[in-house]
Amino acid sequence: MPVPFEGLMPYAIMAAFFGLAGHGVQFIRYWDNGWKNDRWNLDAWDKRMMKRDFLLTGIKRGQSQEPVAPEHFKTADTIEQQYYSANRGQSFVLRDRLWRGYVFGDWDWS
Amino acid sequence: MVLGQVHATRHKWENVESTPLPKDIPEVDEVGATSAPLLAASFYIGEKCKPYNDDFMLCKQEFNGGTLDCLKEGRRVTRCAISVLKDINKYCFDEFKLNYECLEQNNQSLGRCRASEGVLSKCIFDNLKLKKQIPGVEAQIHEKKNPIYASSSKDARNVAEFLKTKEVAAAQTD
Repeated sequence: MPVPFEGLMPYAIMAAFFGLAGHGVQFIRYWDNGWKNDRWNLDAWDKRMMKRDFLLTGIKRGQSQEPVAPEHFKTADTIEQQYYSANRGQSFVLRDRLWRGYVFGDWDWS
Repeated sequence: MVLGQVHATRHKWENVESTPLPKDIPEVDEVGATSAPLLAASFYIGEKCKPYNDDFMLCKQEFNGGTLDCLKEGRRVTRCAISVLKDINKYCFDEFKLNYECLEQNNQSLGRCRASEGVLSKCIFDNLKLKKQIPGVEAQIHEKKNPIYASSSKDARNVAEFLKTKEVAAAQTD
């Protein structure tokens, strides 16, 4: 006996909402990056360069191909501020590890 | 909000060097290209500036990583990198942009952007006579016809579109 389609409707609704949530978050991240994909698996060099990019362009993920830096770049600096959180870096463990490079095998167990 | 806190945290901040360099050290322009354009141009900068870079590294070695001892060599490295970037921007602006925008979309991994890299390297070789050579490897990965990790399909599509618009523009000027 085939299953009547009415029986599958809840599953369709569930799948649709999971899809909406996932793709929605992905879209917001993409938009927040200035219509660019996330950076991942970043090392100290990459992070340092991203800080430098911000000082040069003033935009998160901004890029510039100007050969000579603007004058203010010579003295520019950023001050980082963050608030206390009890579980910083402990939720979203898989994403955290992906970003830190553990998933793609760049870890150092020594 | 407490009044004292407002006064404690709100202060005027100016972008001024409080401890400027001594007068006998000449000014030098800083490199203004950000990470992705620098990565795209890195091998050409390395090719053109090899003597200056080697000189700088030898100086660092000689003076045990001396920061103050190698300022002159450092200025030469900076000036040379700026000159290469200026040349690339003069002759290959659009190709350069195509490649570094692809890099920026693909976590700055060179292997995902071989199609646009080919366009850029051709332009740079035609105009500046600089060739990308990875030092100390058996095979030049960017010259492989069938690499295991292929370029992203979006990059290939962008390159095809770029070449087509370029052809159309060339046909219109003729």
